[in-house]
Amino acid sequence: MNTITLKKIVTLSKNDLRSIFRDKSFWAPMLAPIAILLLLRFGVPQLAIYYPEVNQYQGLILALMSCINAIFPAFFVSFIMLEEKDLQLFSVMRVMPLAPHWFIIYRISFITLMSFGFVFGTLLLSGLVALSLPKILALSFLIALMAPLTTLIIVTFAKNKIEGITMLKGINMGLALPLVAFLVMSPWTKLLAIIPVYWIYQAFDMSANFWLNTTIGIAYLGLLIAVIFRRFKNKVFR
Amino acid sequence: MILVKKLVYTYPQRKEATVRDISFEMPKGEIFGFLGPSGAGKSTTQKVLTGLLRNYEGQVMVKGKDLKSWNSDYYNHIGVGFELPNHYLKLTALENLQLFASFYDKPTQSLQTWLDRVGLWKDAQVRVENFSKGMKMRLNFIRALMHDPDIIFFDEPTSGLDPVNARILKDIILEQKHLGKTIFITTHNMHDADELCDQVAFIVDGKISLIDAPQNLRLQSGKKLVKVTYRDAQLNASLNTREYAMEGLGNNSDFLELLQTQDITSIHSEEATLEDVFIKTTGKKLT
Ligand SMILES: Nc1ncnc2c1ncn2[C@@H]1O[C@H](COP(=O)(O)OP(=O)(O)OP(=O)(O)O)[C@@H](O)[C@H]1O
Ligand SMILES: [Mg+2]
Repeated sequence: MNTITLKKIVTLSKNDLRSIFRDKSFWAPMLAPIAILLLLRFGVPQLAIYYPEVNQYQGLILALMSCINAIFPAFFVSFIMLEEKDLQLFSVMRVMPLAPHWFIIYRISFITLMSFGFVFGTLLLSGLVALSLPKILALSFLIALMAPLTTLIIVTFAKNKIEGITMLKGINMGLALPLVAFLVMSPWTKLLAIIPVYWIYQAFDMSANFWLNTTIGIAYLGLLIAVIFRRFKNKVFR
Repeated sequence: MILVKKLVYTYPQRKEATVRDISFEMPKGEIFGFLGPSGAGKSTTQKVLTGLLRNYEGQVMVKGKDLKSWNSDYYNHIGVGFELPNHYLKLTALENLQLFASFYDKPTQSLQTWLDRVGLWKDAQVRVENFSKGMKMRLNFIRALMHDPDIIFFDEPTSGLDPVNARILKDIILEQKHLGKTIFITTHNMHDADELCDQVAFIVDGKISLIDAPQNLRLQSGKKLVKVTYRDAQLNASLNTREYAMEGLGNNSDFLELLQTQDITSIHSEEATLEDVFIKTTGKKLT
């Protein structure tokens, strides 16, 4: 990467952050990940005092909350991108001397990185499950991939912010769905494996093969991202 | 500079072509105008030429090179003015320009100078969400030329602007032409086309019906008449008009007598406007 490319990335990121921080409707959601972290750190141990059975689900609780935290950056960025779609700013990007798809790839990296930071912080500071640093890094990457996936889904399929909010709610509710597979004993629950978050929960199952599940998760999320990326590029970014 | 041969463009979901077999040539250093009513295919043509719409039929050559073989470097050479304002609303005017300026290989011209020229320097630090439509359009305008491109495309550059600002923008366009830039303009404003363009193409329903210099068009269709309005003293000072052929006007005794004896209120030559010519050629109105 040469200095010119670096300069473009810095300018773009700086302005993306400006767009996020200057939007008053994002101020409250920006505090939510911190609230969730505090809840994990101090709330869950308190709860475990009264309901000791909570302890066996710590991994799943942490997984679910990390996913929720991963999706906040997706919320901010997908709203910025819905506006870009609405105002035809993608057309402006397309008449700039940037290599094809450079901008979309930048954006996906930006969201992933931001989300990675949120998840890393959550996993590191929650104090719930003892994980080695390599595992925290791998999990942070896996969970962070939820952000570009969510963003691409919303920006590709939502026509406006109202639809975007609805989709976001749907996705957030869908996050908890695969938990059924870990709470109910039935071979049918294996079908939930088609929902990408399933693999995140699977990776938190300490009795299972961590690296295998994490790798499958990253590959599966990566594939879904690639599929929607194609559609976004052909239908929206034009 | 730009050569278009038998261009046909059909939008993906449409059965019929929107741009139907148009050919034209834009010489270097000239302003070429597309004049036509709403829906004629002006913006569509501009989008093909600026690489936003692909899968067209026919040939487009820019600077001696097929449009299809240009890569993203093309955008260092051209500037694109969009029909509708498109900026980041949460960023200020200056931040918006600086963002796009960072994408070019060379440094852009002074943004302060440009903002100042279009009367936006005092609002440079204001977020674009607080801009009026006209202010946003002026910002669009700067973005199209701040990187000093050889070829500039403007899609209705003066639409939605007050006369003072429209004047400023038109002066800049003419100045860019004198700097040797090749300029493509779409408009449905015949005055703009008349004033700015070296050549205008009349476009209706995706087809060009004629290409010529505005003066030629007006001269060919001019009626060469003078219309005189006067108050008739005999008829209770009611308003009357008479028309005289321009030819031999100085010796036209009837005309001269009218001037000497009546209370003249106005005298106009009946030149054809570009719109008259447009209607005569295409059978369609401009608006
Ligand atoms: N994205 C699109 N998909 C399908 N059809 C389109 C699309 N954009 C424009 N059209 C159609 O193509 C035709 C020409 O549109 P275009 O925008 O080129 O007209 P125009 O001459 O620029 O008009 P105006 O003066 O109103 O800007 C119209 O009939 C329009 O409905
Ligand atoms: Mg148009």
